[in-house]
Amino acid sequence: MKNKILFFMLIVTSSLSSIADGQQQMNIVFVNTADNKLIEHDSMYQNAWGEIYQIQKLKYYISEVKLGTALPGPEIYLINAFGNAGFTIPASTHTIDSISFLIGVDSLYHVSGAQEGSLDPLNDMYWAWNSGYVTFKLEGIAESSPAPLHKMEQHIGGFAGNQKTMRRIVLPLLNEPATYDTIFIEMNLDKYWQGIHHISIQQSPVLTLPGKEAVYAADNFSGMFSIKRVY
Amino acid sequence: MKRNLKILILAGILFICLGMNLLIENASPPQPIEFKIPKGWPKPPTDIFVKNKLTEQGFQLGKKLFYDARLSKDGEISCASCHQYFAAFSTFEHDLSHGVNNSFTNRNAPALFNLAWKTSFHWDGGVNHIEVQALNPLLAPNEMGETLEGVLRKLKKDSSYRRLFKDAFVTEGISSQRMLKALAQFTGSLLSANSRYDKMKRGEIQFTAAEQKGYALYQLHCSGCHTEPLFTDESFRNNGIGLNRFKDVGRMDFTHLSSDSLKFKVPSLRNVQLSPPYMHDGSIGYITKVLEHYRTGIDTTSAILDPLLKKKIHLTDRQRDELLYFLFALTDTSFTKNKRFGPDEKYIFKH
Ligand code: HEC
Ligand code: HEC
Repeated sequence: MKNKILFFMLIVTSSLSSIADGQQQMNIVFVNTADNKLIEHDSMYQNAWGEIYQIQKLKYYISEVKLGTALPGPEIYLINAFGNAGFTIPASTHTIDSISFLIGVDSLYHVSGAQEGSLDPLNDMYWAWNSGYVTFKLEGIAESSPAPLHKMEQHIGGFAGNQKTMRRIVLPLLNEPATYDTIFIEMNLDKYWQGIHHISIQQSPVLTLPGKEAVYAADNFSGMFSIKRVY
Repeated sequence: MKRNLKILILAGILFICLGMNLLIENASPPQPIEFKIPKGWPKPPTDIFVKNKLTEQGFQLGKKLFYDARLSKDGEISCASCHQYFAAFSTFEHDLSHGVNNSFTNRNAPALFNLAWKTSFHWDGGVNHIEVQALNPLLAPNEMGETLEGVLRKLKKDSSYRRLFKDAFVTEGISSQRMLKALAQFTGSLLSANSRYDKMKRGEIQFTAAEQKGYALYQLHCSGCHTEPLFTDESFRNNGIGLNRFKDVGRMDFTHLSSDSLKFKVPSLRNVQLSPPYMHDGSIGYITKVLEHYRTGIDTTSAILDPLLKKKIHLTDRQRDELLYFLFALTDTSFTKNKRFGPDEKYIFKH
């Protein structure tokens, strides 16, 4: 299984652009895993509570990406475990001691009307009746889910006041000149279920509202991301 | 010499072609329109036309979309099916409105005007911007029942829409953002500010004695929530309407605070004569019954009732009628008869 992840990383690396003339670039790739496996359709995963589940959808917003002390970029990326899971940003040749980013998007975007690009409501990450973007969306099936058809839906959103679900993640990098052009960041779904708070599919199979439960879930984001490797 | 002439002619033709091309390109750049704020009115809390520049072409595109039933799943329901121009863009004489496949909404369709002043939309305030509001009716299974992909596919197939989008947004392309912005240019432009009340305020007419007395009664009993000049303060309140069969708790649906249970957005009283039935679920059929509700129908001991209504409203029959005359003075027929807002062709309302 580990080999599969490595193989995936290799493929991605070869398909991404490398250093363009003059302008240094950095590829950021999210490696989405659960249960020590790459997230794929039709695979089964088990969480810390012994619940077995399949994943049909896994998408989340990444914004305000910042390398070291550089200014954060304005772009907003929608990471899709079954689609585009990486992007390229400009980088300086200076020592990069960390990468930081926001899971979700700044509240301004939630209140400014119709948006385009990664924020286009076509991307199925927008709540119409309760205006605002979903920060993190996971859907699948789990035997332990009491919901109809054993559905499991974790739509984590909410952007205002104490309902905020955006979280800033800072990951340290080796404090040495960056000789690499790709950073692989692992998103480990195991930590979603077993993080600061414990979430079980049986107890909250369907979470599609902003509020306390969504904030709890968002608190677990911080433990889900780590540097897998630079390349 | 002959050759040179040929080249010259060719060059000339080329020049003319290029010129024509340029002319066509710039044939009619979107013409900006000014959104005029009526005298004495506050500035809108946020200017909805700052980032969505109001233009004649954008407005006309929005209007076409608003009246186009093809936007719905079964091609039967347009925005205008539920928001009927002659009823100040509410659903006339329907407590609930018809959606696709014989479905019904579970709330009363509000009248649409002066939307540029709203700080939130829907009876529970769950929608925070006029542009994204339209996603709700387009996608709701009991309204237009479409998918965003479906709507855009239909628009992209239609050459007249392709042209209109280009006219409105300069470059080629139909996107959800452009569609939503165009719709907002139309709905955001629906200005109603020419009732007898407005004319009185502008000094053009004088109120009748009954209207004048009704105005005073309104100021005494109603203005705390239905505040001038928009006739709503945009707040959420409980005015004594109880839990309905849909168990609609209103604002609490959005905030999850039990203190917001059964609070609903204070609706404007403008054009209220034209938009029966009333309240979030259309549960009160006639305007006289609404006044009866305020006069005798409210349980003033209810713990969740708005404090402003805790003291019983005393109105004699005569005062009730005077108040009614005042409410009728808020009717703006120049709004409902405005050709600019009404359908371009004869529009058939199915319901
Ligand atoms: C099937 C009937 C129906 C259709 C079709 C419909 N609406 Fe509505 N509309 C409603 C109802 C009902 C509400 C109130 C919703 C709520 O409060 O939850 C509403 C609310 C609104 C509001 C908010 C008004 C306010 O005061 O808060 C706007 C704006 C609006 N509609 C515009 C549109 C547009 C634009 C379209 C077409 C894209 C449309 N509607 C199609 C029934 C409909
Ligand atoms: C405490 C605030 C408050 C006061 C005071 C108040 N109202 Fe209301 N009014 C509301 C609210 C809130 C609604 C919507 C309730 C709902 O939909 O359930 C409403 C609805 C209405 C409606 C229905 C409008 C529509 O389009 O459905 C009318 C008419 C009305 N009020 C008239 C009056 C009159 C006349 C007075 C004074 C006698 C008055 N109101 C006093 C809060 C108030």
